[in-house]
Amino acid sequence: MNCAKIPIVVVARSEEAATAFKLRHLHLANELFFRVGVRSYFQILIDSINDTTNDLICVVHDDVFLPMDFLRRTNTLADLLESRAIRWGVCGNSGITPFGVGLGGNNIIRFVADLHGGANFQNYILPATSVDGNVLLLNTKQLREAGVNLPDFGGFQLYDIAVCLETISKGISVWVAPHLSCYHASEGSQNAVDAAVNSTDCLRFLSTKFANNYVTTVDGTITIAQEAIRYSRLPDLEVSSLRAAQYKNNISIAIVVRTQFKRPELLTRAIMSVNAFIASAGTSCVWHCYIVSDQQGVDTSEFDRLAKTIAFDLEPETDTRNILIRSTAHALEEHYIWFVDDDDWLFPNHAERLSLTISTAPDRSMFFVDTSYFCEPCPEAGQPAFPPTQRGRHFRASEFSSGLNGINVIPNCGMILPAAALRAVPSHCYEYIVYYEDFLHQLYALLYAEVVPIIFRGLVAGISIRPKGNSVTEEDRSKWNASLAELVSFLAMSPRTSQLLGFRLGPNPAEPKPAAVETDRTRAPKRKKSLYESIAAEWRRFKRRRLGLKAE
Amino acid sequence: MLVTPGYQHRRSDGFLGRRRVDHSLSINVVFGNEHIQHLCAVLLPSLARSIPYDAHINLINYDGRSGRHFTVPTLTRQHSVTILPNTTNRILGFAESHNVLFTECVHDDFFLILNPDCIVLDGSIETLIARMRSSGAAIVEGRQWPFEHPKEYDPITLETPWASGAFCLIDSDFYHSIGGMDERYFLYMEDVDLSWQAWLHSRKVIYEPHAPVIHFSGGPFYRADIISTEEYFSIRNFLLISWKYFGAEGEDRALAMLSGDNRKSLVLQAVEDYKAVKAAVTPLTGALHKNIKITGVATFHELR
Repeated sequence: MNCAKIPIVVVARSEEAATAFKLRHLHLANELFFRVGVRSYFQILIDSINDTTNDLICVVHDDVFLPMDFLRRTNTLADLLESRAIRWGVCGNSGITPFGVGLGGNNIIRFVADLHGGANFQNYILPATSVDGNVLLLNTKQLREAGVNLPDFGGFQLYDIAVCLETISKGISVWVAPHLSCYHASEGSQNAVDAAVNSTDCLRFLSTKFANNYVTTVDGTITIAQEAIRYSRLPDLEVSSLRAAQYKNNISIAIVVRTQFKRPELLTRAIMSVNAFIASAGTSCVWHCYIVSDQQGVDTSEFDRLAKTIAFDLEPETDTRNILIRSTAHALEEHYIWFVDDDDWLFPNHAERLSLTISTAPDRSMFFVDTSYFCEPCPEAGQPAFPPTQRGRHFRASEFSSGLNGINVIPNCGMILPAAALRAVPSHCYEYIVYYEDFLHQLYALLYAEVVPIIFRGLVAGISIRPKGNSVTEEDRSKWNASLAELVSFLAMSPRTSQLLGFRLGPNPAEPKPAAVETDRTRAPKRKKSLYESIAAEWRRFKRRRLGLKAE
Repeated sequence: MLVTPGYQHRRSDGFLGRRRVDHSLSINVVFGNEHIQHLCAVLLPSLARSIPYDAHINLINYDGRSGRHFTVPTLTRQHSVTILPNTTNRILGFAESHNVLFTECVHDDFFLILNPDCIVLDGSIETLIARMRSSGAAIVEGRQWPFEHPKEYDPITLETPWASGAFCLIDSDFYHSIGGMDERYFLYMEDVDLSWQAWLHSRKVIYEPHAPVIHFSGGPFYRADIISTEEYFSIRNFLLISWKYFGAEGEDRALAMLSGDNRKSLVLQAVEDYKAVKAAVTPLTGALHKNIKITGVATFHELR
């Protein structure tokens, strides 16, 4: 393969370091340029951006080990980014993404091995809010054209954050890509980082770019005092990075409300909220709202102005809640489907950020969003569907992986699934697994459909909990248990799995703990009193004082 | 005080003449570019559906620097929509924007102020109007759903210490008599001030729980990594309202309350800004109504 020439600028602390780098990268000898003994990484980036002889420049530390096919992969990366027809400026091999990815739900993406660990994600190029400076691929032509102007604050810290934030503030995207992976033989100097984050000039520069009062980096969190908060309306870094990275605008999502038209007030409420969500979602994705039902012949005219209604001809006398999902998945052509129950509602507040997340995420993704219970009284006939509510349990998208251990914490409206994954679920599952249908689809997508989990942080949906009328509060659990029997047998008997069931993040509690040696410091502490015991003791003290007795 | 430079159409006395119209209502909405989609696709249609009589919907973009042009959807013949141009080339505060809308557009006995991110529900505005007529209140506030404000109100009289400006009906004569909302707050707490002005003028502030409005706003949507303007102005205006109503003693108490606040940088900036604004504010003297009270940092009520 013929590779275009991409100069690799090596920032070397000494001639010895430069020579060592040269010797271990003979395969890149024609591409290497050395900057030895410079005092400012900022100046190197400024020089690179101003170097009009090259459109792409790779700037690397002197302690990285670049693999044999680094140049070929870097060319491939540049071609891929160009093919996305976006304005991109900076790409690195580790960085912070504006959404969580993978089973760990990480925002810190590492396509790198170093003394802290190895890679934690594979294959996909992701938008980033900042990248680490060990390897930086700069689209210098784009940076110049966009007027990216990096001041020289001197030193070797924060230059990577500064160039990323300046780039994003100009509407140019920043990416983290596996193509730039390498080994970075550096432990990093936390002292130097700490000293740098007290460098007020650079922080003041950063604080004028975005509304965020701290920025997460691979080296930790940098607090940025906002001095211009008063009347300025600075943009959000996450949203800005997503906007800059948006390269797909044809991704379509169907928000589907299942109903039997038994509670029209709640259905209207749900659809109103869905339409408000869609209005706020912007144009990065194409959103549609559908009402689906197993009830044919119902007059749906009052809902026609709100959504398209599809009534499926399904077997009467059966619980069709899951079969309705299959029918919907086969009937609709949207890429993704988001099922919302007719007593749920959506919050529009994060709609644009979620839409941008979907449009910039890998093609085969499933999205988990935060949801919350809201307790409310049962609506009386003719009464408004907006009674006072009490916010209840919050379901965090980031905890989705506990589902692999059999604990489902993601309600139906807390996930957006690829329609293809729903269509691939075996038909007998739809028939036998009636309750826990959302858990089935979630696990099927994770285990069999090889989708990329994306964690979106932000409350997006509300779930109505009433004294009566919710499946989740049914006292008789027979239907739940029967469905769980079907679900577990399906999973346990499947010949083809990704062996992720039982996947655990963190230490395995099943492993025997080392025998504890009791010393003065490890001896069991005095047991903490229960609340009841504390109150009883307080009461005894009170009585003794009243009786004029000495303390116990 | 109604100080709105840049508006040439106002009559010399600062107000348009009002006429008593039983079935007509002015609805004033201050919006930003970020609200335009919701405004056109959701809020205006919800207003058109929920008001079965003449209504004048008056809009102004608070951002005079980069206000986007847009076309409002066609509503019914009963509902007119006026977009007042913001010719100031600056960002208008909440109070200033509403004062402009009031002086330029309000002809009716009372008017509704409404946040641009709300959805109005059938019957709610009529319920507010009925309560306004029966109670003679200066302000009648609706209930926000799903996040109802937990502030106190009397379950019998429905009196409440203050009314949120997100969705409330205001008596036009009262508004005129006090010179509109105090523009020095810029954002947040001008509604508390307006409510306290009502109590000071022996007028009532009423909470109407049977007039819900959908308003997806509040704490669950705040992000820890972003200082919201609400946080900033809540601190700055907490000091301002403490000074305005309680004088030096109120200022001392407010500063003492803020001394334990862990948002040090934010508090320092807000205090500096407050000092600059304070000079133009003369503290009120005389007896205060019992509903004019401070119960915590930016808190002016007991919790229900």
